[in-house]
Amino acid sequence: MERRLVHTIKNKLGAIKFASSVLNKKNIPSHKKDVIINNLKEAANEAIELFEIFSEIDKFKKSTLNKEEIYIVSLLQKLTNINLNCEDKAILFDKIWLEKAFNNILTQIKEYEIMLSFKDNQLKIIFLFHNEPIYIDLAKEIFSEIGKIKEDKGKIEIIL
Amino acid sequence: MKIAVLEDEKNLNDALTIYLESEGYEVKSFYSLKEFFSSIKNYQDIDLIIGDVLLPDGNFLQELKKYPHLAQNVKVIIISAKTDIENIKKAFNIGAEDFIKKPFDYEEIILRINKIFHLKKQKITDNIYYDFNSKALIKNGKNILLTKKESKLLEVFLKNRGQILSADYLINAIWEEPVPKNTLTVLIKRIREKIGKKDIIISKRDLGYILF
Repeated sequence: MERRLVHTIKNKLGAIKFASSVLNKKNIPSHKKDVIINNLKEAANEAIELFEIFSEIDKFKKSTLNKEEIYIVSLLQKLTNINLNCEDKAILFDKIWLEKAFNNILTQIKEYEIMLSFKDNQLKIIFLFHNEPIYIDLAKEIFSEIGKIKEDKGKIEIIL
Repeated sequence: MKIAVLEDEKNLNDALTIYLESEGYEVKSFYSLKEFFSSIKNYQDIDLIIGDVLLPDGNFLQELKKYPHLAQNVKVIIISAKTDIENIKKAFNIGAEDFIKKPFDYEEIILRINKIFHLKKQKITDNIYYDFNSKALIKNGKNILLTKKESKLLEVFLKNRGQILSADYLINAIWEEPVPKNTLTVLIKRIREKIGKKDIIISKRDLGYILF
């Protein structure tokens, strides 16, 4: 997972290097240079975001977890401001990191729907999204410690 | 020459497209496989595809297998950060002409394109090139054919760029026998018109002509 993130960061930086070098070409019209500059700003922000995720994963791996009883449905309700009608489940985990994991998914998704189900002591949370979340590596890293996360086109499934 | 760029990283795609256009190529950008394969049939005259392997909606090499006609008729350069030997093998097995490891330098792309098409192009001005193989001017990606005498004269100027060449020297190089100087003047005028820049070949009174 981390390898994929490093690959994405390298790719992003390579593209930034290439686009910056094209800016030095004298025969590129100024309106085209503006396109490159705007893209570069966006790519630089994305690269920073990727570095932050990378750094957070690193911190998570090195941190000592402050485990406490957390009610998942209540936490998710608090983070999304959506009234979720489902039986709650408590797990023992670090609340700060769990919030970060959910936020990593939620900030990536512009429009989403949440589906919850509780069966055989398993809580299944499904996020249906209308855009492609690309940087949910932190969430994957954290949820892999406490349950399962599956990612498919238009869907992220968390089983706890 | 017409080139299709298939790359999902917008920053890289746009910069590569703008760069290739500045080098005189006609370029069409695609950001996903879906977009590319659904519209490529409208661009039958594409000469080259420069494409990434992994795109959010699939693997370009695997998709290309489904279009053998396309793979056989169009040259393909793969640009990828996945440089393990298996990936490179796949690219060549599918008929790719070249594989460029990311990140790459912009000049590298032109060197590879020229190698694939055995091109020997020389830049005249921004967006205008002379192709020594086809004896044609390439202006904004479009070929402008030159007559035998026009191409011969332009080649003499390009080989002696920045130097004043006397009318006698030029006449001897082109016709190899004496011709009225007016014949040379007419030929130079025609080249200036085809290039579309009057001051590309300057006349120096009593000295001759110079190509800047």
